[in-house]
Amino acid sequence: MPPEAGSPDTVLWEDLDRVVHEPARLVILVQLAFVEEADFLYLLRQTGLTKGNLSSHLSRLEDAGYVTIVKGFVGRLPRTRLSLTPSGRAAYDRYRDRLAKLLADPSD
Amino acid sequence: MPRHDAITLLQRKTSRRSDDGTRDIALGLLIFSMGVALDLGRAPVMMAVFIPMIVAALQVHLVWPRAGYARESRAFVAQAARLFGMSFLILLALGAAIDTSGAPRSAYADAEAFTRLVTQAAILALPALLAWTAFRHGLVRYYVYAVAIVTAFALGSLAGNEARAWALALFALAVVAIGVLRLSRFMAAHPPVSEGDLAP
Repeated sequence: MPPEAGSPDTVLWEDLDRVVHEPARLVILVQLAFVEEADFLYLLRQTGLTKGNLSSHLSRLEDAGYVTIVKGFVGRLPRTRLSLTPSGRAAYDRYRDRLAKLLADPSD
Repeated sequence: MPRHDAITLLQRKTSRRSDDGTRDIALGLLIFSMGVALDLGRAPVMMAVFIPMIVAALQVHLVWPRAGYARESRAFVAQAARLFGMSFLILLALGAAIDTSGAPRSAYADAEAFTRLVTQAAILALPALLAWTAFRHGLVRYYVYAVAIVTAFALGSLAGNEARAWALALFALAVVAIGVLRLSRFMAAHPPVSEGDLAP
């Protein structure tokens, strides 16, 4: 039984986290949710985004505190390591729950 | 929608990553060394050291420069370890119960027989792990691997231990060959990329 409008359990479209809701950022978060950490090249391959697009979305996620970006080197080659922060994981889980509630069939 | 998307992406991620063939190579080497250990009645200690080293070297030098680096989540590793551990213990207990019911307990007095029992349980626990991985990631060939291991053991009970050893060895080498083929295809399709040219 779906919650009544106005009840504390009611989820509105406006409640969705806009940082997570953007498709490219959602794809990045999904990828990072399934691994402990990954590098820039891995995300580039998995998401299919361009490097500029990926960089800008990662910056947005970092600003929101959802992703940690650590720049380093392996030998002489640069490697950017990325992982979800606890608040990023919580935001992703919350987003999934809310979207599932919004899309739930009222007849269920 | 999000659940479906997440699963689709996960399958895409895994199937792309498994295309590099290193998991097949690791699995094939593992089955081969366990099969040999089972036949000889020796503990497969060396495999615990060398197989991870070989796979790590392949990943560091061949896969990561092409496909990027990712470390499995702790939850996934823990879940896989729990499944394998439980299957192993159940099979070990079952194997001991079946063998001791038909043979005197003194049959396990020597370490060789006990090592065989443990190795046998470890090999037979692999199909459970493979089937779970196949189901979770939608990788059909892992189901085939799981069935092949069980078939090799069934063959052993029908045609003797030598047939089982040969079946396991041939299957293991076939899996390694599949892995090498996948790895060479992967390397041909993905030239190495320096992150310096990619990252802003």
